Amino acid sequence: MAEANPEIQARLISFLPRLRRFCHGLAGTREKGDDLLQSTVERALSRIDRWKPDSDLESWMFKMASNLNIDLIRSERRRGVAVDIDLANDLPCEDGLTKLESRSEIDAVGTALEAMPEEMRQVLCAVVIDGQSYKDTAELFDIPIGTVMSRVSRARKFIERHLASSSQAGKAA
Amino acid sequence: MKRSDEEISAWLDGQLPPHHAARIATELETDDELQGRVASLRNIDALVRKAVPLDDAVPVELLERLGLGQAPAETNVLPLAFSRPQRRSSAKVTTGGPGTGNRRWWKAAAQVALVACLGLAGAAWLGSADGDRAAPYRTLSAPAASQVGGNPSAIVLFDESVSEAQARTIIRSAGATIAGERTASGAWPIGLDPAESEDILSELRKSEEVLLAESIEGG
Repeated sequence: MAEANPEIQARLISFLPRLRRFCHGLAGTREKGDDLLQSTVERALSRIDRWKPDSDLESWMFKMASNLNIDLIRSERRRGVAVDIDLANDLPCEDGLTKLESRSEIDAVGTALEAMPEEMRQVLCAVVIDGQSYKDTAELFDIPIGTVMSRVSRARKFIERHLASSSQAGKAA
Repeated sequence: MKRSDEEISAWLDGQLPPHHAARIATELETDDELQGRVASLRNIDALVRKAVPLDDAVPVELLERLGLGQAPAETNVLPLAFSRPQRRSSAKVTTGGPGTGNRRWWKAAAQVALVACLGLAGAAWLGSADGDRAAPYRTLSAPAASQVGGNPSAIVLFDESVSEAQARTIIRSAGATIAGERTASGAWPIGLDPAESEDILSELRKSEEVLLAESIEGG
């Protein structure tokens, strides 16, 4: 692995819990999130010469993690597991409902996050999980602020509907 | 006035202009429906944060994987699937072989050597009485750790510069599952859907990072 200078490494380590949580949110599970975190750190350290010291290291790495995750999602889509964001307001399909046999609301939310379209999940991760502003999130993902506003709202509604479905499934069981 | 979900959501995030936010705050005092919507969305946010918790302490093992810290000696035997220190080597081929730029040469050599091993192992397996499907793989090279994830039906060998995380990603992206720990020689045992095995192996072979992707079925 490429070596970064101690100052950058120290900054990276202090920022690591946030980045790890962001990767967890993007990837859907802690295990996949740690894999994504590792890929992100490796790529960042190998390209550290491309980072401009007057820019924000954290944003640079958030963007890198997001791009790496998108690469993974796209390669999965090529294999036929595409999720159309236009369908995001619809309730999950039967397969999705089957997966919603979660016993707790937190489990159900975790399942909903995994089922959520990537474009929605990354915005939710930045705003709700990491607490970033709409403006910073828009810059991070190169999208208009209005799109951030729309996606974070739809993401919350998506989870709300998953929770309702999960609750109904639990009562019917 | 009925507020849209987007407005309420942005208000919760503190992203509305002050005058707009103030109007919603005023309405919230008397609008039961609005109070219900806000409470529901706040509950969702709290659940999301619990589902994806912030751990201030990053495990030493993870720091070591990331190349950002030194784990104590006893953690050389890690409990998870990461029993090897991770590194990205800038020197892909340092000794032997016909020099740099010969990755294809190495790939071909690796294929010849490993397919030959697989053939021998397959023959040994076919001659075995117990019919253990993993036998050829074990004959090829003893695994570095105990098997997890079911019977492997193929193996993949990556370029030495590929990290464990990247290898896992490539395997998953191709549609295969990881069927155990890497062998001592660095090969990954993978599981394949029989109906798609050729397609998945073909997909893996397209990757510049893959030196070898071969079935280890006995047939």
